[in-house]
Amino acid sequence: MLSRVADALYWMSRYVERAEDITRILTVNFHSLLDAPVEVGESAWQPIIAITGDEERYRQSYQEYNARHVSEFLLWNPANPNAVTTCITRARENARSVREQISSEMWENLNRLYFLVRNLDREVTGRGPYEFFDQIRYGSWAFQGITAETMTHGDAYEFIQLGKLMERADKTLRTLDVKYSAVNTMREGPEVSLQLISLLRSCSGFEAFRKTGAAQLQSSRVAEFLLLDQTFPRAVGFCLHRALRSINALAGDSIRPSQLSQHSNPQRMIGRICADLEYLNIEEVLGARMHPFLDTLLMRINQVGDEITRTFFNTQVILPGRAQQPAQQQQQQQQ
Amino acid sequence: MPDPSETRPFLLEDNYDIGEFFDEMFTATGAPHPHYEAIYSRLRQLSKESFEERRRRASISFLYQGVTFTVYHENEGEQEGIERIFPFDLIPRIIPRQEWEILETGLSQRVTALNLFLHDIYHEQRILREKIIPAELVFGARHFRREMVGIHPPRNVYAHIVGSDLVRNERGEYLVLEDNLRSPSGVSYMLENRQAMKRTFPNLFQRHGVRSIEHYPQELLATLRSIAPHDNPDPTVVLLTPGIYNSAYFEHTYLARQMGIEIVEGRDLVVHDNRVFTRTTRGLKPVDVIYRRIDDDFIDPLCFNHTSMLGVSGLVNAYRAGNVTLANAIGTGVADDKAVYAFVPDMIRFYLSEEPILQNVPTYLAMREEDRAYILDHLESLVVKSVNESGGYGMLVGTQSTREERERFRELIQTHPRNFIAQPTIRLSRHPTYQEGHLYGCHVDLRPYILSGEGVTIVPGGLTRVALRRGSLVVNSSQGGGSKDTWVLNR
Amino acid sequence: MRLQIRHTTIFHYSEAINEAYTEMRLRPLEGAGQRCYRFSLMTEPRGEVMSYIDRYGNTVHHFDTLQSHDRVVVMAASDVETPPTFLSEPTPFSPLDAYDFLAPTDYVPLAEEIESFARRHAAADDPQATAFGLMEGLFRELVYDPQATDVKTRAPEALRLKRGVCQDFAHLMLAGCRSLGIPARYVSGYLYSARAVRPAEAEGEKRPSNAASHAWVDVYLAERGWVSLDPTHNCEQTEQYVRVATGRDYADVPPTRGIFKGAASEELEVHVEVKAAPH
Repeated sequence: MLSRVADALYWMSRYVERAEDITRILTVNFHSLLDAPVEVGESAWQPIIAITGDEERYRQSYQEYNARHVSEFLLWNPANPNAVTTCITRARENARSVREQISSEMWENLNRLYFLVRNLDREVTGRGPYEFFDQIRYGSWAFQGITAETMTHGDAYEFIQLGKLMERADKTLRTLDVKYSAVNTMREGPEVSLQLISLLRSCSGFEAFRKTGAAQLQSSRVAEFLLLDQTFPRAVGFCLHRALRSINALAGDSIRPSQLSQHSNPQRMIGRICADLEYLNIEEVLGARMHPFLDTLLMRINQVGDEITRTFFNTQVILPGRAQQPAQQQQQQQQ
Repeated sequence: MPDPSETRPFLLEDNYDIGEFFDEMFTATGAPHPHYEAIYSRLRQLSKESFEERRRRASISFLYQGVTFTVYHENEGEQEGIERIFPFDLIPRIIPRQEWEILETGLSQRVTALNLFLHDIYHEQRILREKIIPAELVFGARHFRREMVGIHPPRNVYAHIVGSDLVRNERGEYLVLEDNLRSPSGVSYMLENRQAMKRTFPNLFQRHGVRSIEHYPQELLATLRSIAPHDNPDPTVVLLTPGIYNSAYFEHTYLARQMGIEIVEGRDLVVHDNRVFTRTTRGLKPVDVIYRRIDDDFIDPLCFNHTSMLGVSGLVNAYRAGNVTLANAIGTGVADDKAVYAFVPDMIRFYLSEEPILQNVPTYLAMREEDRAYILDHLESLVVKSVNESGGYGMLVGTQSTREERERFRELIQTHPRNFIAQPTIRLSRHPTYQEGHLYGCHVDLRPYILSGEGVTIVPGGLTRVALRRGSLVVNSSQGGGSKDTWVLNR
Repeated sequence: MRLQIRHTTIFHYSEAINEAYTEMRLRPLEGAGQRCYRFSLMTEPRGEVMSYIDRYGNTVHHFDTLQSHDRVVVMAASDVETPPTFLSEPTPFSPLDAYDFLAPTDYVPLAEEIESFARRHAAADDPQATAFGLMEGLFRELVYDPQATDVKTRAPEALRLKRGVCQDFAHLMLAGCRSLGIPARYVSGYLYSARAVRPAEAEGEKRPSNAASHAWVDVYLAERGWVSLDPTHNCEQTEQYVRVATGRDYADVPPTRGIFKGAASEELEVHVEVKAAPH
């Protein structure tokens, strides 16, 4: 498959997933924050930006953290390349360039989402954003379902899965990191439960978690679930295992005949992370140890993303390495 | 059999007007030519309603197949594409066997001479030394490429795919209107028209003995494979397209799919150490033959226009080194030039020592003094064309021009004589075509596609284009043209 | 004269680029009395260097640098023997040559002012006197000024300014000859001087050296054949001139031409060192 085509499919999928995840985080937190006491306002909205890793960018546009600014930033501020409307637009651009590879139903669905965000009346939506949130989330789920049912499950399909899974792992990790740290600083009480519920809902995992039979809502159990579970579709463990499967399907025997080792870099790197997670005892990373652990994990996942780009999308040419940011920024498609 | 209980009008009424033109279907007496008899009697049995119904079905099938061309324009800062179906007329244009045999031989002769001409001007330049063609006409042509001097393309073929447009005058004589040696398009319509006709009139084909054309993609692929560098028996062939914004993009994807080859854009290819590769998810894959639908100017920013984002840097160097073959070769546009066209009969005589089987339309070159005087004296009756443009835009149709337009061209011709030629207005032949409930005679031309590789192959017929606007002579898709299926008979 | 030339070009990029393609015309010509005994070209980063001969007989070296880099160095070394004067070849023109050496180009277009300038120095029925007259006329009427023009300046502009560098002198000489029907071609190469000359005007040459990139002109005279004239110095080619490339004008013989992917700006640094070797 042409690298350019694989690149477009991968990023089309990543951007749709990103739009969905950010929308869900906003939705969940909108609900919970409306219940919160007024003084908490500022410090309650800031973590949402922290999840995206775009704090610096946010501060360039806004002074304070409040509902309006945060939603604006995350939904449609042109200065934010990760805004939901930008993500949908870029997803659609990528789809258009590889229209031959996707089904017409997929294209129609994305196109509809695109016109939705393009023709958005921001005033109206700003006042009552829930319908918009719903449209984005349902649009994304429809896209995934249509893809699964109308595309042949070949290489093109695997790249789409890979993009979705990499993005999802990234988002679950970031959400867990920020919310777990918050919970860690709190004293025992109903506040903690609310936070944990919000964390789970941000990953659509509240009901699934309940079904695991965990009696009490404990931060350790929640962290374990979101990090290590291999059957819940938004858990990091699940995402990475499935991603490994996709990469195995794509890599075939070897990437380049000259390669001495059997596995390509992305295979090795993801394989290693999966193994680490599989044998991890959650007790080893609780409390103050969680954040550095998640931070390193996030960095490793981003490195896998770079390796995927290098291996599948950029043969022969090595692009200059990106300078390490103090906060891991969300990955962007190479222009 | 016509249904006697039907009181609706039939398709073929008796008031079809042949006018003063050669009509493809009808003789001067109003009876059909022998090779049209069968279709004529079939059409007589059809009511307008059932004809309309078939027409509708054909249109829908084109839409579903995506047989469109796209016209792009800017809308609120974004490129918006309007997909248009190239209008299709159900009544086929029919050519009897002997007639086609002459055309085939004539076209083959013509393309052979053109390829010999291209080889000659990029090597010994004999035809110029002998002063058969003025040197400045060739060397001053926009598309003459000095980079090609001395290069030896495989089999010495430069123009692998040529679309030569044929017209008929009022005496029914075929004339070559122009040769297209750069990226002649329309072959996808030819193929899809045949599919539509088969679906719409399945019985007709069996009774007529129409020669097949479906093998065009296979012939094209065989031609492309035959020109691989180093006689590679299993070359990798790709189609290089400018991308989705090109109006012929549909045809590019269509042909690539029919041939089973990869369609790529410039950015998918990379040149390394004079070899061309595609960037794939499994590494660099070598490329041997490129069927390129990108003009010379944009194909290699290192060699030609350095602002081009569509091309492949270093491609011409790889081509010069003989590591990749381009179809068509670089520099074929010099034979596309309308002034050089006037000398094609001389090329046939010079290289093949034969008389041309197919004639040119008489052509006056403004750069020749006597011709220029004649042109300026007869602007109202001539068709004046700019030598380098296609699409029918920069043209003066004398018989339909205003005084202003003639004055504008008079000045243009006097300042840049090299850029203009003129031809008498040909009374193009007409063909019954269905429009708004009736059959009218509309002007037609014919574009056969001539493939040159190991030998010369011409798929029977080609694309018949129709000027749908009443009285119009312009058959281009972008300006109100349509097409018909072309039938070459077995007998 | 025997000369050893070392020509180093350094391409500096403000930030890393990739997929760069570079072409260079550095190999001294063989012929017309000039012999090139040895020529080598090396690049950093190392890679394969290929070459071809263009339609004017110039050797073009080229290479690609696909991986990320912010600097390319090209080192060319040659060992040349120059004749005391330009020895004309008796080869007849191909039709293309006949056209190219007389036709107007982008740098050397047809222009009224050029034609009248040329006619002022023309000697009726004596192409040789005309050519020499044109050369001297340019030498006297134009001021050598590296600041007045740039690499894109066309002949009519230089004539209007009455100022320029050797590239402009050469283009004007071509313009004058061609407008009078005398075939002429552009020559690029080096001019050696025993003592260090002012910093050469070619792009990137900053330090004084004893050799400068230079441009002059070959003129075809029916009886004599090709004659090589330098309007910048009002003299015929001597043994101090090293010929590297010929063409219709500067556009046919750029010393370097390249393309790359990336947003960086490019800066050129050029060093030319020449040693005169004893025979």
